[in-house]
Amino acid sequence: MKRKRKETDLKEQAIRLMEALSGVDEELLERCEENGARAKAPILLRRYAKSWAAVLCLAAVGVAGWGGYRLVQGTGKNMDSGGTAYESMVLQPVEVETAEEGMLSPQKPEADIEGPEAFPQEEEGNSAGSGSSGPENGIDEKKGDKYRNNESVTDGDENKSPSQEGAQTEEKSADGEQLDRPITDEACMAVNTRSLTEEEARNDKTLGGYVPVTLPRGYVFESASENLDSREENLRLCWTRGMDSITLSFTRTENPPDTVDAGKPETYDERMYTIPYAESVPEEYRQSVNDPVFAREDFSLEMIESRMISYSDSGDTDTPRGNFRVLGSGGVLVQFSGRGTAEEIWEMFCSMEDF
Amino acid sequence: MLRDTEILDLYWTRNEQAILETQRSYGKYCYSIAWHILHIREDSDECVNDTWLKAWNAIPPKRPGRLALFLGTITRNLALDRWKEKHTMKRGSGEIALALDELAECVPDMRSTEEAVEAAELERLLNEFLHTLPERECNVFLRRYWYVEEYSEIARRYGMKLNTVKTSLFRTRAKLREYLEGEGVLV
Repeated sequence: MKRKRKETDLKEQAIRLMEALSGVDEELLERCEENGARAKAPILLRRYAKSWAAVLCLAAVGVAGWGGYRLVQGTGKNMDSGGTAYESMVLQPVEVETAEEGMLSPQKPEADIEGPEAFPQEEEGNSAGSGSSGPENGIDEKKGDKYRNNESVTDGDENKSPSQEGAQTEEKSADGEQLDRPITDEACMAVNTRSLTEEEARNDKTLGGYVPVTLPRGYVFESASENLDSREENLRLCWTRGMDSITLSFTRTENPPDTVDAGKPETYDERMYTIPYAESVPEEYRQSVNDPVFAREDFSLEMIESRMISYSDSGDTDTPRGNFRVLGSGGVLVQFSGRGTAEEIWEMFCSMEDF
Repeated sequence: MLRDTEILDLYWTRNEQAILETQRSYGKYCYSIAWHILHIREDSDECVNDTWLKAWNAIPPKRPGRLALFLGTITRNLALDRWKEKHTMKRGSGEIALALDELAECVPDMRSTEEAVEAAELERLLNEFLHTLPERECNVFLRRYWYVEEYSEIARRYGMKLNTVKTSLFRTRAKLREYLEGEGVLV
């Protein structure tokens, strides 16, 4: 009896671990997808090595045979020049007598004329190819695509590195002509950020005073950074508690956004609407309900309560979650996104010295 | 097939075509996750259909960066819930089961805040642990315990020998046990 009970307990514990694994970082899952795809290439190569070798041998024989044939043809026609017909066409301008003028005029070598214009279809094909790996198919899209039904993980594309995938991009010149340009580092520059410790963030001269002293129980510091590319002073901090997280961004902005009218809860109170929000939130309030900006003087616990909603998602914690922004004095915009009870979040805001 | 951004746009405009496109693009992927856990066709199908419903209700306001993983996680959670229903709550069938289910709706959520925090803490520790593992070891572990794939499948996927996969998993489990004990977690 005891043994059976122990087995049941163990099973339950295993289920807990399985459930906890649902919260694993997406980047780890993505990495294991990528590597799976990459690892398949060598297996395929090994499995079909003999076939590949045979194909390569045949190709080599074919190339050699064709080369020999052309050499024989060339020597037959151009014994005097000592080169092949192809070489003579490419290297020497052919002088042709024009009918109208009755004089010799230099012409472009035939090979030149038949160069790019002789194969327009191939050109189009190439540009279409690069189009498919153009900017709309950015790296993220490619990542998403790898899971699609009709694309086996053994696809050749899967073996390409992200830089290869997006190596070409299509742009249009002023007159609408398609231009293929390689993506350079400048074209997709990483955000230039400076990582900070929590202490460094707190000691920031202008925005450090906004970093809360009190956080909801169990939260630990995760990261802090400053976006060096932004012209506005900014600071971003993140704390986590298992799957829960709180992100606060502070920006001293020169162009403060419009704030919501505290007397109109329909413009920000998420509790007034039902999921799916796209069907219940009137279009004119969609923007503000999705991302409301409160004025500091209106900001209250009730407003936070209107934004922190608990959802019963399978496998997820039921901690209320929400997002909003508050426009404080001196044009400092505090952006909140995270989880906790309304009281905890209110307390957190109250603990910001400069808020 | 549409790209993720296009599918998400359909969700945001509440176009029901979104579900068809999701099914077309990720149906097999989600089904395979559910199948690995449940091994019952009908249940797996239902999990996948429930996944679309959950996605429909969640987007908007959500706009997942990686649609596949977003959908996959939903399917996995649903499949685990279904598996638990079948295996840990076997209490016969017929009306009594229905009656119990109906009564269960009246029972408040028994999970205390403390338990929720513990679960969150366990997730955090697992993530931390997985980040300490070498890449290959971590991938094999996730393939086995996230995707619930068979040893042979993992071996094929990564071009490894079957025994190497088994050994890798055995070692990782031992490491995890040691890690969790070290962190004072009694699962």
